[in-house]
Amino acid sequence: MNRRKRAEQTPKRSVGLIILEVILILCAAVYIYPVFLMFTNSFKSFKEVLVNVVALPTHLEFANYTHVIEKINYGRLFFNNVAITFTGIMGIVFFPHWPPIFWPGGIRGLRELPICSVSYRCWCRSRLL
Amino acid sequence: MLSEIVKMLFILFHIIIPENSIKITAQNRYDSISFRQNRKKGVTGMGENKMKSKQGRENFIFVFPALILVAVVFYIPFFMSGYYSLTKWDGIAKKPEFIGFGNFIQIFTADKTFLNAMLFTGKYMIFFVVIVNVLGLLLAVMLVKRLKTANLLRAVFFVPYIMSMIIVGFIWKFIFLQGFNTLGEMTGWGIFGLSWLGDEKLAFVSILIVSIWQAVGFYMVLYIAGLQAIPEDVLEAAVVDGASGTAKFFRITLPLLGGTVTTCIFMALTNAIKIFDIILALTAGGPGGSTYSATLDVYREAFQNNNFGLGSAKALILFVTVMLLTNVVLKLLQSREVEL
Repeated sequence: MNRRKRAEQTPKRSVGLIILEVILILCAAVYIYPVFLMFTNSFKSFKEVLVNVVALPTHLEFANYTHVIEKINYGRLFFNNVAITFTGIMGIVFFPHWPPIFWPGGIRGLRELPICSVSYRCWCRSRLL
Repeated sequence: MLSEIVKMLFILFHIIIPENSIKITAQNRYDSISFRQNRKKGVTGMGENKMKSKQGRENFIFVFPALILVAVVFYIPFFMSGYYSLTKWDGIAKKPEFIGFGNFIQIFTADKTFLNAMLFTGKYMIFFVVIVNVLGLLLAVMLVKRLKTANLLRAVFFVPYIMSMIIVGFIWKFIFLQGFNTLGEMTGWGIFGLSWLGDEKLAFVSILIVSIWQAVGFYMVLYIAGLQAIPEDVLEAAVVDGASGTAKFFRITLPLLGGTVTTCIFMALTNAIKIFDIILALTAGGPGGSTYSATLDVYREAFQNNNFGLGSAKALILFVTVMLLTNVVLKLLQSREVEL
């Protein structure tokens, strides 16, 4: 009874919307295909890739991954990327908000200092804007 | 050289920050001390001028650290590049040879490569800006509807954007060279048998396809945000008034999306002019220099031919062109924006 009531209450999706959804799913499949191709080929040997690029791997080959991790020192390269990204994001997130971090308004003694009150008021003003 | 830069920075600082905001005179210092003393006593009265001066100082303190960083990473290299554009320098010699406007004269009279590269960049820019915005808007309009898989589809279309341009370039190079061959053999379709990176006209189309494939998800997200910000009651009022779907879109949705359209076109414009890595990964400027962009030409001139002076002059011309173009386009678009 409850189910029937709920089904009656929810608006029915039009046929147009369903067709649109199907078309969009097909478009998305084509759209993401290059990424899928890259993913499947990463599990193939070089010989297998040359024979047929589009086919799925006959068996999962992890040699490419071990080569990347061991020979190319991927860990180091990845760490470099993470370090640069982390520094950049920290700069973006904290730099515009330096007054409340270094001179928090909650600490009374600090807030009374002239430089802190200036920074804090500037920060409050910027937050209001 | 250094003193010139310091002078320029000094002038720049005075343009950005009004003089009265950074002058800390003896009088100001006295005012500040007396203000603090008065505050302790409970006297809060302060003249308007003093207040303004204090605000200016506060603003300067607030902006100063950011200004130093921006100056170090942006203004100083920019002005140095301006200076190098007036010199003949190979990047190794200790002292660049000052030649005045020699580099600029050479670019405008004897350098056909740069002119062709600018023409290619212009052509690419027009196609990219139009197609990426139309497709982005189309996808956004479809994906704001109540679809069951809307979130998944949004994620799928956005995935290529989070990938590095160089990686995208190499994936597509592999597809154009290897994947299309196999697909051609499997389907027998002539389109897969074409030389997508070897033919001059098709190489341009290939670059366009890849860059649009990579970027459209980002513009789609911006347009979705814009569409979601349009108030429902306005659209409902249009339906009550009898507006058809097309009329509702072109007469209400699109004008109210003005701000988003401006942002998207501005970003697409600047990104298109800066195109570099996709070309480097896909065609490296070939075949026969047909996909040579302005940024690639600047890079080759400065870092491969070791002509830093000429490279800087080309970069400066590109900068001025971009600045003028984006200003004109922005003013044109902003004047057409509609606000509720």
